Amino acid sequence: MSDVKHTVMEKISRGDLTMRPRWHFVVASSVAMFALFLLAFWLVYLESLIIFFMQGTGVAYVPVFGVHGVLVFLYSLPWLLVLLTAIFVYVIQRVMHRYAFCYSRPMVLSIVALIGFSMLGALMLAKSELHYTVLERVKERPVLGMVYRQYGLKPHQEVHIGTIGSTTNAGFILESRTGEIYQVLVSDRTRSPRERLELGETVLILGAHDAGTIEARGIKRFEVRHIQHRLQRDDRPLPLPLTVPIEINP
Amino acid sequence: MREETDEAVARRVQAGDADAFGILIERYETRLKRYGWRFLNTKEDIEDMVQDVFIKAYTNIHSFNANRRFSPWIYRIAHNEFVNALRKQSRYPQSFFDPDTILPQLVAKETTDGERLDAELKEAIEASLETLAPKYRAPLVLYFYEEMSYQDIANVLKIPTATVGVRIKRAKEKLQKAYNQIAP
Repeated sequence: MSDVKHTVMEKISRGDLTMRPRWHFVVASSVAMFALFLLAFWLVYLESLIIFFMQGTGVAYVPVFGVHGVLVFLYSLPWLLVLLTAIFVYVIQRVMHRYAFCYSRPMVLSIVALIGFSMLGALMLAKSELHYTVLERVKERPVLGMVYRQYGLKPHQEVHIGTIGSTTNAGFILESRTGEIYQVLVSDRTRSPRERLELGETVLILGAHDAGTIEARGIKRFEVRHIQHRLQRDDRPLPLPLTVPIEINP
Repeated sequence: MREETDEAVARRVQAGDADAFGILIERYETRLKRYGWRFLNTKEDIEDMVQDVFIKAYTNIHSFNANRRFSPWIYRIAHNEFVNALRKQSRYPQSFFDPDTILPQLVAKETTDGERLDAELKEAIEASLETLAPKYRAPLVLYFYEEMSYQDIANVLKIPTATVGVRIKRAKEKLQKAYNQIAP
């Protein structure tokens, strides 16, 4: 009998070496699965929160206005939440790596699959009323309230949402959801919907504003649902007189 | 009479037949020592390490799924033990991301038995094994010396099967380069 066999078998017969019971592994495996489930839930929640903020502030839609829109989109991403999401993806990938379905495939595939599936869940969650409800409940609270206030209530300074109040020679008057009035200047360079805009329609506008005047780079119809329950800073200036005409159905 | 499979023996151990574990030690002691010598490039402490492998295997025998193959499972424990030994000696490079496992690789086909190395060539390779990084050495040793399939090696090393083929191919190229430098 070899030394190794002799030593190990003697330890077993003396009772120095005992098997861990099956339930030990069942519990360990269950805990790992539960941890994975929790991490996945928080990943979906974080991603849906990012979508919610981007949709709520209108920033999610500005890339359709070209390079400048894409830059505004990238600048406005809640990078802290994006970083947190990346950390969650990494941790989940590491936890899943113990299972053959994960390690037997290239890491990039499992990460893409993880992001893909979680984004599907996030899109569904972002469509639900969850974040509106949470926002209403936590907006005065320190940590979560700060996150919602920080990202959800402060749109990019070039992104404006409001309803078309009246038409002018130069464009139209925009009434923001909190009652500020803007003069929107529309030119040939403005990217706008093919169909005519109607008075009273809610629109998203990309354009720098100065002393109450917005030079529109792009105009897009905006679903009213996105701005429900939202609050807005009340620091926007009054509009100036208009000069250029715009085609809008009265 | 056909020999009882490793999995059947492991099932007996799980059922409480502790003596049956001796059969598994007999079957794997030499193989694991051999893998350790080649992977670590030393015979020092190998016996103690292999003993620890069997202790861990016995302690955790209920985590073994007897519907799967026993060999990759025990080699996995041994590989972890040997990697930990390398880490203690700071001979195992740490990396968060391994490019070989991140991106999809072209599926490297497993060679046929005829292409396995003959004894003379095995000895020549063994002399140059220490020039290889551990991540190339492990699949090469498991494939050519332990005669494992790519799938089993993938389960031991927890890497994609295609990566096993890529690493073996690169290991051979590196060995060839080292050999050419010694004997131009």
